[in-house]
Amino acid sequence: MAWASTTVASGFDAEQYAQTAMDSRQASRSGIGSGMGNSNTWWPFDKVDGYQGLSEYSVVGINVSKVPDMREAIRSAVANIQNHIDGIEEETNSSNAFRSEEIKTAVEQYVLAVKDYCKALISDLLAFSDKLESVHQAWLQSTQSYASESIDSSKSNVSSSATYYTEQ
Amino acid sequence: MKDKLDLSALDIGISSTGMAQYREDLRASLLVSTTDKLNEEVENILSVIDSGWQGVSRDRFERQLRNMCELMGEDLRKEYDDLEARLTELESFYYEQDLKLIEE
Repeated sequence: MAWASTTVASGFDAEQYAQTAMDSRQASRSGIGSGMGNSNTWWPFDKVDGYQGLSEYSVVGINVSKVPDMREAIRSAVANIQNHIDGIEEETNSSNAFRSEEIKTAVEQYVLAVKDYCKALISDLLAFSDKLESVHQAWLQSTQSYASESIDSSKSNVSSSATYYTEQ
Repeated sequence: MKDKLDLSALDIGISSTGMAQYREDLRASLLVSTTDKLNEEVENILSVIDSGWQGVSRDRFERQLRNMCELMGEDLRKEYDDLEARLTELESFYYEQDLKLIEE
């Protein structure tokens, strides 16, 4: 009499659960250029050419706390140059050049007008102070946008793929 | 020259030597020293910028700032050239006045 022998195989495919989860996650991953993808497939930096050959710098960016100092440096420069111009005397040695009170006054006024024009011209440098503020805001906006549109979006993808297995 | 008097003895008159010196003094003060001061202050600006900004955009900012200062220097020169032309005309006026005051 033969021993009854019945074997039952386990039909439970434990690997399937993990593989399904990993496949699902892989499907939501994106490559370089569309967000935080698998950066191992491409690295944009080269030790010789820098970033894609477009930048000589390995470190780029701005210290936003120093932007006010930079703007103040421009304001100070403008004020210093204008003060320098103010210090130029209109009647520089004119007494050895020509004599006539009317001519002297007219020439002094003309030189004064030239000085005023020069001071106004120099004030145009203040536009570069505004440009610095624009740079400051552009960095802030671009990093804020990237953080919310790309990184947060990628984080959401990861979070939604993080499902915990519960024993049955 | 037939000069027996210098300008200090006159109430109305002109000295060509004095005018040349006057034009040169104005060029040195209005044009040369102002341009030098402009260039000096640009370096001060850039030293502050260097303390907190790095990258290609910072380099472009510097180029644009220097280009602007160069253009300003050229404009100052043009302004001085115009002033010098007016002073040359003034000098001519005095000599013309002297030549035409009494007819031969």
